[in-house]
Amino acid sequence: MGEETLVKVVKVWVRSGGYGVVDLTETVKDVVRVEGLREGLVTVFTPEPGCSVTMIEYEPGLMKDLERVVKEYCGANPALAEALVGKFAAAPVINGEVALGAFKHFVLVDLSRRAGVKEVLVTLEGVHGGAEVQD
Amino acid sequence: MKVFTAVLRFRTNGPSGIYDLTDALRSVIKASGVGEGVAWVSAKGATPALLIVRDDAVDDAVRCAEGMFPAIPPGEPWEHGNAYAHLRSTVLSTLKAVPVLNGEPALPQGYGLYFLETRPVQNHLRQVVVQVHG
Repeated sequence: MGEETLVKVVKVWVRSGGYGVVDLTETVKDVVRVEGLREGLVTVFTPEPGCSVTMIEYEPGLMKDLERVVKEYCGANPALAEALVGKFAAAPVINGEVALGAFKHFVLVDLSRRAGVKEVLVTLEGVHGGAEVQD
Repeated sequence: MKVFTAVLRFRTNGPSGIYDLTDALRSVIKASGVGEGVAWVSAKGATPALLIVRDDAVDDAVRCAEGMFPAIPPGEPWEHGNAYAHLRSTVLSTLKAVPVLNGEPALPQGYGLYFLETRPVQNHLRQVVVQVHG
């Protein structure tokens, strides 16, 4: 497989109950692996109204703590939560591995109160291919 | 465009240890050979934070971070034991971008890139990825 430096945007969809968090980490790792990004940056963004993307340990107690923060600072307004929590997160990719370190996950925070399938854009920027990619 | 990656490894003490990574960032950019581009800096782990801050405001920034996320409501503990550290890390972010111009980090004079250790640790191994695109 040849080596190529490029930017690619991959749309993925995840199911959400409309209020809560969805762990995106394995989905993002899958996209990096399948697309063959070897060295570069992976950016995760959601265009969905009322939804945010951030990086945090995905642990039930901590998710309740995050909910407390969002309620305290943003009330019941999902638009304010989008501004506080943010719409994107990103991490470097080294030798095909997403360099997150211990416990850090990509997480979708959904306060939209609309259950369904949510769009997430995964942008891959950097050197693709040139190494064995197991699929 | 090329991508150059380096991993900084260093040991921290906390809580609230602050480490100046500016010289290390400059060295990685120099080693990359990139003249114009961007340096992505990412701290591994779920509790540290990276700050771009004026050097003479670093102590105030640390105190500001220490004041973030007291228990809500006061006195009622968080569900997660290290919640304060995770929440500071999430909101302050483990990722920063610094433009590269003429082979140098385009930080204003008197500003630096700093790593904030939020947890009460001793001699804790930390890793920061610096990736230069350009």
